[in-house]
Amino acid sequence: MSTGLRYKSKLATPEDKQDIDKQYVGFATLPNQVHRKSVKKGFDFTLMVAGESGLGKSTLVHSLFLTDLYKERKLLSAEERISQTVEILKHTVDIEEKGVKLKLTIVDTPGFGDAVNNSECWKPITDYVDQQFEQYFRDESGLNRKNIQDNRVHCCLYFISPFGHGLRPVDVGFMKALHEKVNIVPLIAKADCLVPGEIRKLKERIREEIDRFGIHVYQFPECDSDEDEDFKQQDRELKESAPFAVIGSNTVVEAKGQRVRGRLYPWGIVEVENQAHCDFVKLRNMLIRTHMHDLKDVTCDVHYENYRAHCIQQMTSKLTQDSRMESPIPILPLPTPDAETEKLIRMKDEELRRMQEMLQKMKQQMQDQ
Amino acid sequence: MAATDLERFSNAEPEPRSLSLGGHVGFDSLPDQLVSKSVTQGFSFNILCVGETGIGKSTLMNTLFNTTFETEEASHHEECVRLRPQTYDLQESNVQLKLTIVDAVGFGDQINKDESYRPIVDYIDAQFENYLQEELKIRRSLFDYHDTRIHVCLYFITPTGHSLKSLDLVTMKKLDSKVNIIPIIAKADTVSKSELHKFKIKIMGELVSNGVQIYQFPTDDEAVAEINAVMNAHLPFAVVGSTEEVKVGNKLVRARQYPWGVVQVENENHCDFVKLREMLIRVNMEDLREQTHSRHYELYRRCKLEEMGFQDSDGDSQPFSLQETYEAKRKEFLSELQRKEEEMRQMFVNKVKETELELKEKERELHEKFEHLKRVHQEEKRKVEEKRRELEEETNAFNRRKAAVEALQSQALHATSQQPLRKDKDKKN
Repeated sequence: MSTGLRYKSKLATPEDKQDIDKQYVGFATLPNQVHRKSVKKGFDFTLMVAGESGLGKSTLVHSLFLTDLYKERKLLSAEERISQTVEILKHTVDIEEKGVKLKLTIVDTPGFGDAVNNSECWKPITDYVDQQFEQYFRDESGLNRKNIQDNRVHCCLYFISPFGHGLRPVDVGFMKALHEKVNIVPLIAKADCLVPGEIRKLKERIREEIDRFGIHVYQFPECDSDEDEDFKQQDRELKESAPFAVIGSNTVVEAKGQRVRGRLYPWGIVEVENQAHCDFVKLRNMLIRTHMHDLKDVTCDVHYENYRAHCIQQMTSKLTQDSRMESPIPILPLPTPDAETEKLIRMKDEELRRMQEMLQKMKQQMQDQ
Repeated sequence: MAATDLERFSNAEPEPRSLSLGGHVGFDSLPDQLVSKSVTQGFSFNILCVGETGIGKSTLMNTLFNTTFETEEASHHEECVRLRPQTYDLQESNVQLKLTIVDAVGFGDQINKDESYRPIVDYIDAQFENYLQEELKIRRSLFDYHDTRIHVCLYFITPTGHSLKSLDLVTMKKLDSKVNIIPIIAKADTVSKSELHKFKIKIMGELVSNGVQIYQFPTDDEAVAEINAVMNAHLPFAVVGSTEEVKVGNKLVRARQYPWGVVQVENENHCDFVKLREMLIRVNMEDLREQTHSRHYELYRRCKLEEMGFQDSDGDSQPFSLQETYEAKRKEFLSELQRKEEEMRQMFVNKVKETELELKEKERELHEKFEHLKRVHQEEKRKVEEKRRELEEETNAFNRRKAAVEALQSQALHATSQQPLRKDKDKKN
């Protein structure tokens, strides 16, 4: 399976030079230049994992990035979880592979779906995502834009429980609250409790319910028509196996003389990287090897732009309402007035209006009399 | 219950002497007579299954009883928890069993699960209530009565591998004093052996620290004490259910076929299904029924009757008579009713009086207003009349003056027409 790296930096060889002299202009080396620059700059990626406790989120993150992010994790007991609220925890690690640096941020959401009453338990998460967008918006509109930190969430892995018949109300609620803000990639967790027939049925069920409830999950982009057949085939398989049924493992076991990542049961060994056992490999390839940049692009181009347009619209509509400033061009968000002062101003305006109305009424009364 | 009665008797009378028999009398066939009686009567057993939707409750029931109970798959989007009882008649050898399986549909699906336990508790109480009503009837037929009280509650725990869910803890606390709870870990083929061990310890630890009383297999009967004690240590049972058969070796066994292996349901190494079946059906079914009757039902009955105001005879040596107390209660109740009726009647009468007064007031006011208006109207009329008269006089005066002026004018005209020259002369002068 070909991995992503297609262009390698290379210097021009003597033979090339001859060609260069003839009709060769030379901008075919642009991809190499891009490659060099990006390696120098480094990449960053923010991944959010969400789902109920006990579905194997941390184990999967461990398996994906092969680093242990959760050194000391405090797991709450059932009693403490009865009225637990959702927290947002960020873990950032710098990892490097073949000279390419990646600053990986994992946003964890412990407590989601754990309490007895889970109404609006996704609110802290939507607030967090909006906050990151707002932060980036301000940074982007600021004067010094050299070092903008991009903390926007690029992808959200949502873990669906394999013990049910499909999506639960809390799953639907979460996805509907976030599908316009973040790329959601739904996963079937702990897939080692399902036989292949059950996996197929569950995937169909989930796909059908996602359609029925109108949830927009991350769609893989169409591959160009001039790609080779292999690639197209892979792409098709990828699309058909969504949502991915994954298994994670922290431990390495002996299977058929090899050491593999897997889970040891009395009746057999589940290999995490065996395509016949689960879709972990597909997920990893999709997330890291082929579609990481596309996820970032969709976040920048679609979700962030939606947020920005929405934000600006709100600001302009507020201003035209108060008719303080006529501005044909939407705004340089200048010292964007604080929420506090805006509120005060609005209140004062209201008061003024009320006083005016009262005056008018009194005038009329006097006239009548 | 039988034990305490005996104590009372033995306190009152001298202890009975134990004698030895000279030959074989034959009352050792009493248990056999009892057994044949109960076999002809048939047995009834009621199981309540509580667990998340899709956790494998129906499959486990099918696997346990080796048959297919027709149940439709539940959806995840039920508004609230509801209980679905279904009764089946099973027969094995010559023993008839009336099995009722009660399913808690929709459990664990709602976003707000604060009230999830309530329908379950209400159902259990309702069954106790029905039995109590039957017991208190004047003409009762307890031997014929279809006992619907829940004998055991199988609580299905989701195999997260960490600990109990908060909902599980809350629900089990509410149920432990009403029904025998046997917790089981469902879909246990997702937990590896080492994780399972830790998981079980964590669960039992949480149950104990929160004071949840689960059913302990009885260890007072020597015949089964040993095996029960061993099994008690294996709680909660990690089970796997399956109705499909897979060829393993040269046999067809019930199992689940994975790409990496086959999980056999009846293999003790793979899961605790066999243990559960032993304990639940083969060894302790009768004990479960007895516990339900002697512990949970009696507790319910006592609470209910105490609520109604009955009390056991503590101080007096007079045996309390249900009848008398009942009569007294009834009289009290009736007098309460009468008093309430009187009160309501009084209130009604008062209200009527008040409304009457109000109406009268309003009438008076209306009258006054009417008078007032009438007067005003008359005043106005008078004024208008006066004005009209003035107007008439003025018009008359005006007309007269007009007539006078006209007359003068006509005279003047007449005069001037006869002496036009004189005027000119005057003018010249």
